[in-house]
Amino acid sequence: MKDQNTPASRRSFIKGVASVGAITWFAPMAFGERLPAGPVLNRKNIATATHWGSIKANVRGGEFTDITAFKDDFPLPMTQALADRENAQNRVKYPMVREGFLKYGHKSDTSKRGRDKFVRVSWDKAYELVANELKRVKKEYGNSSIFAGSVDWHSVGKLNASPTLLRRMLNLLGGFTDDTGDFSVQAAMTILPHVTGNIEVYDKQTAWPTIIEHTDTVVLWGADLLKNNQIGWSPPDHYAYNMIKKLKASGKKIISIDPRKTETTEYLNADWIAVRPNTDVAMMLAIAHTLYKENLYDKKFLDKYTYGFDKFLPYLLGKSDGIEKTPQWAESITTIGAETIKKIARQMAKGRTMIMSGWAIQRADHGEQPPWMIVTLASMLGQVGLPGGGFGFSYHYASGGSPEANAPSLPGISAGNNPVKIQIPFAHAVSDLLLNPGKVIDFNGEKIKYPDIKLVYWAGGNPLDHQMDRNREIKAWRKPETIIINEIYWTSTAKYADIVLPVTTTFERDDIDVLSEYSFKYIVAMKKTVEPRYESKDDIDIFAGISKKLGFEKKYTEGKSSLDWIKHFYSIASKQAKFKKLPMPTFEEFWEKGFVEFPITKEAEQWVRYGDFRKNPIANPLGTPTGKIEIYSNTIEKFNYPDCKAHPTWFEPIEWLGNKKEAEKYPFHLVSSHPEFRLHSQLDNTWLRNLYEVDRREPMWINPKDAQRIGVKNNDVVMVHNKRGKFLAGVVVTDRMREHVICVHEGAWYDPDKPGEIGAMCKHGNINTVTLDKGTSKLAQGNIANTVLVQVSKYEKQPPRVTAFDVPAGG
Amino acid sequence: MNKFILLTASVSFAFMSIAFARGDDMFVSSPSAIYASNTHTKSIGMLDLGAKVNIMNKKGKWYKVKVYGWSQKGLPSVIYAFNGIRIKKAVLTKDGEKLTKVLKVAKDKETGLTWKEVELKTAWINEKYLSKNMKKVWKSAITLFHNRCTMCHALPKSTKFTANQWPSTLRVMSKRAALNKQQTDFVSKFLQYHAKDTIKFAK
Repeated sequence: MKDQNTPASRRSFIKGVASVGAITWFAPMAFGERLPAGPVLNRKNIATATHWGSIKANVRGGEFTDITAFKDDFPLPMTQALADRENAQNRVKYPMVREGFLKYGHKSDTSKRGRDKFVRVSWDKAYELVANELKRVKKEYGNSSIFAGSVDWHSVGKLNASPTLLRRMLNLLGGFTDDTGDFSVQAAMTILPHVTGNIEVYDKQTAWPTIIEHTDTVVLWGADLLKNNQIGWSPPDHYAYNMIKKLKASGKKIISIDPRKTETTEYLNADWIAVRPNTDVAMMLAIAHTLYKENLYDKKFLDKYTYGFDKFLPYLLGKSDGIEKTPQWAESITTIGAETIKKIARQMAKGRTMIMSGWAIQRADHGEQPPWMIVTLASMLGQVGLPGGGFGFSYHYASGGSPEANAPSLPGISAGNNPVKIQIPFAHAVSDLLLNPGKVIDFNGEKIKYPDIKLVYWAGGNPLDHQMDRNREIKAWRKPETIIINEIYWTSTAKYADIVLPVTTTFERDDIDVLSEYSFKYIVAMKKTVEPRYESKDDIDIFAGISKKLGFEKKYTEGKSSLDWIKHFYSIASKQAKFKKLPMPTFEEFWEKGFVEFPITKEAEQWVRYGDFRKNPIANPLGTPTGKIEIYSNTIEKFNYPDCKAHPTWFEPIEWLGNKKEAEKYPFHLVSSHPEFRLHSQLDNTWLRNLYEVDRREPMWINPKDAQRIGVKNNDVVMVHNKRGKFLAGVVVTDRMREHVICVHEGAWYDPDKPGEIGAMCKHGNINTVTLDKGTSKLAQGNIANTVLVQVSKYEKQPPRVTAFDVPAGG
Repeated sequence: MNKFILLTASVSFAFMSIAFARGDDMFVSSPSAIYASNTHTKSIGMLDLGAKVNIMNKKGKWYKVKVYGWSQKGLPSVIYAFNGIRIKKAVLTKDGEKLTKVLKVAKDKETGLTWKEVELKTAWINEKYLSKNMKKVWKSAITLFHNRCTMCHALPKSTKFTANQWPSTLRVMSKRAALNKQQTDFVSKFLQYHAKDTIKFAK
């Protein structure tokens, strides 16, 4: 057991990383917890890739000890913790079954989940249990009673994409209930196809070099470029970091609208506009109002390239609802002064302006509105389709805006067709779904009826970390008869499962991937670094093992080994390369060297989003009914939703500081943006947390005035609570937080003081004990994690020991 | 209806495939150039995958066809499949435009756009680009869709987006899905003809 009172060097760490230059600080701590088992001069460096970038894993004396950066423009400090993660104490070592489930099977007492003992079984027994449960549920209730929409971040690799492999197996079984959408950007990716005709959030952005060259003003709307560009669904190459340096050097005007003074704000010396959370749309409307009233808007652009401004205008001017959206009106909602709002409007209209939107503002009640209003503002400015102008929804993610290489693309393992056609919007795909069989919900013009779920299978994710309203979820989690999890570590989800199958890490298996999501500049080899620990197996082999018991192993594997698959993917890329006349080495040469690089073209560096549309909007129409940017949507009008109207609208959120009655009881708005030193919950089980945690708990940022008001100081432990639940956190007093707002990053592992119980307190700081489980609106049904009011009080008792990383009894 | 059957040269060959009736529908199975006459010297544009054509005549390996569809005012070079729904059927040269006839002009109340129902009166296309059975042609698009669009997420329903939304939506994903340009167009067309607002025509 680790000493719980090790002092953390958090302060110096936070100080250190605030300046980008200091980002390679803590390499010396990179050793895992075990000593090398062989002679240390036996060493090799093996290429592989992760969500934090591609690396070379250094093996000394047979142990993976540390890493070296590899094909990465800006290597991250976080990667130094990967060796520690490989050797984490909380690996799932063997196939494990909850004791009650082993005894009583699907008739077990499911309220024991989370507190029962686990029992080790053989792989053969585990396969048999899983296969029999799948067969039983299929036979008794039908395939739609199996839920396996386990979209989560798992590990990179075109082969061992665990959710895909799970789907592949279940499709062969006859299908399952799946989910649809995305936890990060559901609201934006549902509304924007109505506005610009595509999902925007994962699309190519106007190239960074055009911003450096042409832009006068960059508006960061809830976008923390330095923090969030660290990670990528595909391994990132961190192209954006050099561009952010150039942006700083250029001395352009930067405005950051955010309740936190982000690192990006600090580094770029941006004007910090500390808007009240969830009121961004009111501020945007007031900017639009100023642009209109002061005649600073581009009427010609609106006429030629957009639809419905004339139908939006009566709302803006208050003719349709009696409320003119003036800066004074917005001041009372946003707390940002009317004069400041006007100044921002004038600044935006003065030269070339790029609005870079983050995603946190749309993970809020009525989250459809901010993206729609950002597009509306950019349309009024009339610079969409010009170099360095317009809007972008992905500059903070995976180096959006990096030029695309002239490269072939690399396929991966696929799931095939799912005969069951039921898909649940992701935010509702656990609690709401499990608790309400037969319920019908609205979703983007459709009606979706929940099936009765009897079996949940999740691979490569941690829903008992990321889903909203944990206590409601624990109740829901008791409903299925059977819960099966593939996991590397004893996450909370694994601890609350019936059957847990141990999975290898990235370093224990071969794979292949593309770097990065926007540049496609490299194909990288992901070579096995060390032998699988304990009895863990690759995801693909686990599902092949279950498929064998189900009688379709051949169909599942197509007779290919892992290396066969990797070679197959590579050969398809090679064919594409040949067609494009790009040289590519043989697979063997590639596998030896670790990568293939493709050239970035000059045109790509000057690429402008909607440049074609601007040149000829009729010949290059957008995917909307009018072919133009739709500020008014007839389609949405017909849905007739009370919570998403036909044009951008300010709605009061269900919880916010502007609701005086509610705010009296719960005076803090909790924002829970993506963590700085994790990928959601990944890496929490490494020494990284020693550097930023406070008393072993997730830090809670609070403004000095607020801290004084409630009588807390640095390093105190506090309880954050509301009517839905409670968690403990450690205090960090900082004037980088707006008053009345606290920030606790999402992703701290859930650690209930009373495991398995509804209403338990999280000892470690998982924000979802207090978040609200409600959809953004009937349109997108996205999660609203950033809409939550809480009370914060000093925890006067002896704070309990954090046990989030302990293994369960028997484990 | 007055149909008469034209058999192709040899009876055995006709059994295999190409018996057709004047007025029959066929579908473009692969994007193809079209010509003003059966000398096929002067290209008048191209017909896109999935486009339904009306057979008028056949000479050798060449079909004479008519194409019905809709054009948006201001873009006479493009014939789309349906009113207000931008599934490209034909892209015409200036000469090609001259061979079209406007059947109807309709101003759409909602969008304020003017759409014209048009007929491309005559075009010649090689038989290898036509198929009687579009289902068969879509089969490989469906396979690509099932294989490539499930690598990272749940297989989207083709009815998740409208026909207008699909091409730009798929374009976002095509590189991640390892679809080359030709494959992207192919899958895109399949999805457009089976989208939220067009599935009713497919059935």
